[in-house]
Amino acid sequence: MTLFKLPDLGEGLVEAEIVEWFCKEGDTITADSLMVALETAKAIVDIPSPQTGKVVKLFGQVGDIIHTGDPLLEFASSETSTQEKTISDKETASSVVGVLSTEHEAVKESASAVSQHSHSGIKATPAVRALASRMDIDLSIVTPSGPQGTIKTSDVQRVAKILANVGALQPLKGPRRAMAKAMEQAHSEVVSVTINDDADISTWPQHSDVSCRLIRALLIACTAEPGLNAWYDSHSIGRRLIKAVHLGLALDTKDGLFVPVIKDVQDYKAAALREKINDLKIQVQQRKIPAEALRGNTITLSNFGAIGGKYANPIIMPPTVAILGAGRSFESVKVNAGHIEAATFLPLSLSFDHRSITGAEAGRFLQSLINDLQQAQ
Amino acid sequence: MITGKAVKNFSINFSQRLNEHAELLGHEKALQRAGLDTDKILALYQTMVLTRTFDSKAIALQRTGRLGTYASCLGQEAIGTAIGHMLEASDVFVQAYRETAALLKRGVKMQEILLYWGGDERGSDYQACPQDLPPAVPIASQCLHAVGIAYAMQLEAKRTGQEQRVCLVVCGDGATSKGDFYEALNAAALWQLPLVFVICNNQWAISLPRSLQSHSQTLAQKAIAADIPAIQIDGNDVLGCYETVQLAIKQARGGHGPQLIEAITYRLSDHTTADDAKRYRTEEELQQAWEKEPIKRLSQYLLDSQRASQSVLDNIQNQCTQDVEAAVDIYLATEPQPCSSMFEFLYQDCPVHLQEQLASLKGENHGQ
Repeated sequence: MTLFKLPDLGEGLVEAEIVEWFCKEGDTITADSLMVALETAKAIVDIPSPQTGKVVKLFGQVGDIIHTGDPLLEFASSETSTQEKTISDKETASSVVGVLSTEHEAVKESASAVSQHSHSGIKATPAVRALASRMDIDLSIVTPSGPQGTIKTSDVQRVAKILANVGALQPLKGPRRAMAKAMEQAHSEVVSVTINDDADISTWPQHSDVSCRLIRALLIACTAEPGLNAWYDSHSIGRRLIKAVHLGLALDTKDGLFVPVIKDVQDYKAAALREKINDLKIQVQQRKIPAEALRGNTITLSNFGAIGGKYANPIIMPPTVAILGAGRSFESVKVNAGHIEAATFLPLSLSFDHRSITGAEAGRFLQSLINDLQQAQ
Repeated sequence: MITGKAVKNFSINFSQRLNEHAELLGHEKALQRAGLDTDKILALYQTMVLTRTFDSKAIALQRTGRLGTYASCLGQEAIGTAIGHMLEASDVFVQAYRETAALLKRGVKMQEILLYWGGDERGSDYQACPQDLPPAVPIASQCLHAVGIAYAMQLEAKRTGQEQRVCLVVCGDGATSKGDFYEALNAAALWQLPLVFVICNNQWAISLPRSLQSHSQTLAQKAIAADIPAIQIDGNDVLGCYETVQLAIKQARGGHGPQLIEAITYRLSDHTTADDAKRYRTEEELQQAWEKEPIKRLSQYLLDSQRASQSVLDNIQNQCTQDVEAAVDIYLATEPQPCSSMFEFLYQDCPVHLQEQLASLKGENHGQ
């Protein structure tokens, strides 16, 4: 048996539609006789038979789309010519303009943000570019004063002088550099929406552990709306719902932001949880946290209330799809059955990735979270 | 009104020997003077038939995934055949990328042409004519390469006293709009180089028709600016092409400087196998062009003049088909080059960092 697979009929074509078969199963056809007509993105092309032989199977009807590299027709084995044997060998024969892989699985390319140092659209002569390069000036920050927006030598010198006055560029290093890259990636990839609301925590006993209560509420909300405890794959456009909750906990240090992960946070009792959080804090402060403890979170909590601020638009780190921010609790009034009462509120900010989560799902998630937070115990 | 007198007049002649009705224009003696006896005419016919047989097989190979993009020369066999038959082995032929007929007559093997279009650069290493250049895909660039070659030939002849070698370069109608083309004309004329320019005017530059290519009534007249003798010919008339190319090469060889020929032909095929000409030209125009194609015209003449019988012509076709099949078998059986070959032609002495890459490549590809 010899399979004839659809070759690339143009330059980098990935599929073709069957327009007409000129043979049917059982026919014996001769080499170079008209076999099938296919329509590609470029043209309708007649495909001759690659060999003489009996057709035993056609892999498609008129109107079907065949991917490049997929079987189109099968010949019964006959007197095997050299030509026949090599059909597949030469399948990847490349043209002078290059060859495209015949796999039709999508080629995976990582998205990258448009470089901030891209010089496209900048008008400057080679001499000015060379000067900027020597003086380490990014031309994208130089305001041009030349005709039609060209950057002149004097523009580069002006910016160099200003920069000399403000001092040398301080490169971001370590966690701060990691944060810069991670935030840039998150900003370019994620379609983020933030919902804000307050939980009435007036009934909480004094000295309640806010972090532990938030984590408990998160777990309940994750059960109510599992879509928020998930990883999203933007290449394949798909998501993985994750049963266990691995909680990323945003912690501030003088070196920058750390997000250590509490694996299987649902298995912790309140006391053990507090101990774990304290441990993580110490590890992070001392920079002794192992790298694997900073990976694999399925959802994130940023409890910045102790530092300050009420609401935020927390940034979601791919592949996770949700992050909860909690601000500083505040005293305010609430209206209860027509009466004004004093109450304590915990301000909440839930960011979710709208590519995989609907607004209603996020709303229900937040509501079930609030319902739990409003329990006294 | 300011009066003046003509300081330069020009005209462009159109020449034809066998018209589209396969009628011989002029006297048979002219053919004899050009060396066109029956054997020679049959040899021209054989080259054209071989070219067309090869061409249609190459397309079949591309359509079945066994060749990369291919540029067909369907309909343009005559001018290429004339060029191939007239150049001496010691001359240098500089092609564009649709000169299969000339290449075959130069001795380039069909499997070499297939290897090139199959993405294997070993096909460009012509065994029979190693000084001929490989296809020039960037339009008109080859015109300047040819100027350099002809310049070297002129120097060489002066130094050695040997007979002048000639360079012949082919470009398309589209190429004549490019700076490279005009620069080449200027330099070639200035230095009176032994160079023949042939414009293969097939009426289409991919999808741009000749009418939108240039306001010039003929493309040949572009040579006038450089004071190069120029002529327009019927490029589908292989006998006329033969005579004209013969004369032009003789002039160039004799120290009379560059010559230019505009051969009017028609691209009966798509631009390449990655093109669909139906999207931009009418079926009617194509049908009219088929009426003028060179092979039918010559076979008609051979039969009418009783220089050959149908069975002689059939035998030629059969032999060509066999030769093409044999070459295709060789091509398909050619082992691909190992990846390591990419390191072999960049430097005479491979730098250390590339040697390391080569070593690591060999380490990763056991058995290759």
